[in-house]
Amino acid sequence: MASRLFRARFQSDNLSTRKTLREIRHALEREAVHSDFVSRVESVLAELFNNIAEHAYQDMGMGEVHCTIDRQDDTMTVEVTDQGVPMPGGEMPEGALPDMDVDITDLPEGGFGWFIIRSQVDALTYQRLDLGNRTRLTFALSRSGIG
Amino acid sequence: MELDSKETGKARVLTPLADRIDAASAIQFKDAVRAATVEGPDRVVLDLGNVRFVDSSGLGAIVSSMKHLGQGRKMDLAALNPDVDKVFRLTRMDTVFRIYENIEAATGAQAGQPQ
Repeated sequence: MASRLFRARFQSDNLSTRKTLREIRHALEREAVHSDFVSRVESVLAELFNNIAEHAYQDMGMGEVHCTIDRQDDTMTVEVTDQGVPMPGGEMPEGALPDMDVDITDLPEGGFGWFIIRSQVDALTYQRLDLGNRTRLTFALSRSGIG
Repeated sequence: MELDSKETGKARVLTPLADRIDAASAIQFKDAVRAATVEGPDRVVLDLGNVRFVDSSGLGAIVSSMKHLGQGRKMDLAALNPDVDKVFRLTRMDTVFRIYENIEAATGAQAGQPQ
């Protein structure tokens, strides 16, 4: 049986996102999981929420995000939905790490988001809904921190 | 973003008084670093001792601030908390910046000398 640890509906602006991430951290800390695990989830969800604000809701300025977190045995499943535009090409970006072996002036100042998401989750699915997007992320408790 | 700024040895040490450099604060961070480094030593040490969380926007803001220093100046980092350190290693930012364990190591006699 899965148990619901967290559920929130929030606006995708930066400060509401930050507040929700803090609430998620508190909800996970109550589960007595390793603090490294909590940091890994926080890093991934921060990137996902920022991407929703910047891309899915780009034309609307902001919009509503719905997030639930469930625990079943040794995994946590996060479901995030929005009502924004689809991912480009109907798929999540590949998320390659930008080339860091370049001249200082050419160093990337962004583009780490999907790399962080893809490298730090244990499973990931994306579905276009009639109106909006749904992303499901799975985190195995056996793998603790960022890395 | 509030930034503590002091000169130690031959470096300008900047300490953000915030626990996050994220999408909500990236622009303020960049503005504050620029304002604090208009003049002063060529070497800037960014003391991240108060910072517990850096996201992709924050990483971008730190890189942008470093680039903005311009030629002949450099930025080193110090006092990364373990989670922040992991994010820097994951994104290979540790190949771009010299990272010191603490401010003393970053501003000590040997620090900042060419290797």
